[in-house]
Amino acid sequence: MPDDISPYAFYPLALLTLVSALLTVRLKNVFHSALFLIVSFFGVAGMYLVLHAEFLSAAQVLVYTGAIAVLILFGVMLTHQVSSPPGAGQFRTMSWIPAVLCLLTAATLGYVLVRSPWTMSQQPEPQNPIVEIGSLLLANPYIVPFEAVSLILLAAIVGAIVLARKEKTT
Amino acid sequence: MTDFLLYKLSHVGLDHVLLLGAILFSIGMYGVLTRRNAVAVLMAVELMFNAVNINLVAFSRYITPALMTGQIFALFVIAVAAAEAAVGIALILCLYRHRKSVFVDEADELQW
Repeated sequence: MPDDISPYAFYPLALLTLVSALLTVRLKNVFHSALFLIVSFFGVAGMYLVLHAEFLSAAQVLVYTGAIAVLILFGVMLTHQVSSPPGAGQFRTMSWIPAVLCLLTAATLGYVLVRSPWTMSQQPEPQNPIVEIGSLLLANPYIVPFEAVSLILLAAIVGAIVLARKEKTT
Repeated sequence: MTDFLLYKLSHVGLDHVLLLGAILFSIGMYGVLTRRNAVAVLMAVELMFNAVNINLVAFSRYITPALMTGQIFALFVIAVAAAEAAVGIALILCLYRHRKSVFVDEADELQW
């Protein structure tokens, strides 16, 4: 049975993640939304550390904040829209029907997740999780998905280049 | 009743992390449904991916800690999300080049 997570680590990280996620979806300026998305990515990386997934937290920072967030920022800056007149407020108008739907979703998901009787494991955690992940990915049983993911990334690179290059004006 | 609440608040377990994942997922869903800018919709989708990853890692830690299945799954989700974000941004750039606007409610025709 894994020992309990320290509440002094969990609650601040959870608050940081949720508040920055809320700001991401509520701010009017898309650039500010992207910056708060980066903050929530760091919050999630901290949550991985709290859950003893060190390799995953490093991968999260490298891939999500280092690559995906930068890509999103490039997208924001390359598709710059005319900003609203100043003094119009920081937040977009609240759409209440999606908000109620999302509250219902959160309530349903939360109720089902919290009330389900999960069978907690009695096994101890591996001593060296990074060695475990390495041996799982590079040998049985996840070597095939590992190679498949590299194919997916290759296809995504080629596809993104083909889609985003300048059209030939001949 | 208050004792139970205080106990639940001070002992963080699987339930709390799952609840965090559920709330984060709903916030991302609100963003997908509400935002007009296509890049902002992509950002909300990334929030949903992160919520799913948090759930996966929490399950891996509490239910199958020796197998680390959830962590491997979350790693693959991160990789596929990176590929999808790249292609998505490229598509948005294409849309912007043709229409000069990235608002999703204005992209309602297949051909013009």
